[in-house]
Amino acid sequence: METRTDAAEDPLVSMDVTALKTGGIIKQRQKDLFTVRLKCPGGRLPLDRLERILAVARRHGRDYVHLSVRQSIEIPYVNAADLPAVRAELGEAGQGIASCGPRVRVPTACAGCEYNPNGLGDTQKLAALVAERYFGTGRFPHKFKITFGGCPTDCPHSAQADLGFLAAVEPRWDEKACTGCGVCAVACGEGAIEDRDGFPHFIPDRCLYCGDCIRACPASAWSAGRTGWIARVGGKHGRHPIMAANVATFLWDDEVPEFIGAVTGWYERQGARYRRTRIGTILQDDAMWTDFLAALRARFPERVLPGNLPKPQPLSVHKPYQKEYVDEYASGGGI
Amino acid sequence: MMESIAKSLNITGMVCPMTWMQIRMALAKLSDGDVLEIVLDDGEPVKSLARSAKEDGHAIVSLRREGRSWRALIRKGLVQ
Repeated sequence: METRTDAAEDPLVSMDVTALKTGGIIKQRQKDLFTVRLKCPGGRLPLDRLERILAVARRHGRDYVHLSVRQSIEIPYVNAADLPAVRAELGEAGQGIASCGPRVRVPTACAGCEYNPNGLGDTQKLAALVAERYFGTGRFPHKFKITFGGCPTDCPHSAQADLGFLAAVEPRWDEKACTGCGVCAVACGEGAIEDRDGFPHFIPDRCLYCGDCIRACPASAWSAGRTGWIARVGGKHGRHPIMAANVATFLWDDEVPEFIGAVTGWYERQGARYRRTRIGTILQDDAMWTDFLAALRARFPERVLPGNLPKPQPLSVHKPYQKEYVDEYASGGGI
Repeated sequence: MMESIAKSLNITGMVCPMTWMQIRMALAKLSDGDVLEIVLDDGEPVKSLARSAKEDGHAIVSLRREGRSWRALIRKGLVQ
């Protein structure tokens, strides 16, 4: 026999739904259960907050948490009626809930230069700044993800972010200090340094600005010239992946916030006529790409790369139309 | 200038992080200012040698290619 619940007994009758409005709370398959996605910018989590998350998960979730692919801790199986308490208990320890929807999301980042030997820039500092200043903002047609990579190895996949930053260092060679040992040519993975007659020959077009030559040099003959951030725009993963396009080089730390403002401002302005469209998709339109570069060049004339830059590159995900595929599909073979 | 070599170490065939750990352990047995001679492979081992040495405060006295491997002299730095 079915048991009926009196409406007055249902705890959701009187729930304060403000806890749901700002996002980061994801409905599960299971009735009245939600996954709570936490705000962990750059994947860095102080231990006192980790302890609080553990306590909250034990009280309101089950026996595990999930690490999202974007560095967030997610607490699954939270009852809808518990959501206000979960938000409050996490908030007491300074632990925020993430966002979803058409906003600036929690930034991702690698460990950066603090202790990673390859790190060239302070990704964690900038991820914290974005989380503080831009998280949850924007009136966009779709989501906006920002990523910081501390070197061109790009572990955090900045090329698949709406706006990605990669720390970079331009090498400079001092002939007087060079002993001609040739280790820089071995260290350079790009063929940008060739050992010619016992001395390095630098080929700038091949340089990725990784700084391997600087670190490998025993005589400090290679040192840092220009340093800063390479900015790339328009990447995404998902159903229709796009590889971001490099648009600027050697942005200083304190230029990064204004650069983010310029890109998100353009996306708000030009994105207004689009529905649920990422910036990289909008930039496939030639006129939009031209307009975007002009807007950036007006504000960062020294930083934006010159010339006709290639657009963000979509990855073809559909098989090209070929008669044999259709015939095979029609005969029940599948594609 | 001829350097007096306190100890020689061959780490060819080893990969990171064993390459630096072998050097680090050899340096532990030396006194400040002593010179350690190391024979190491081309590629990643020699690429990361100067970085690791400098980070730990040791000086590269010399580094040169010898056939398919490299020979380095490192002077042990002051213990912090």
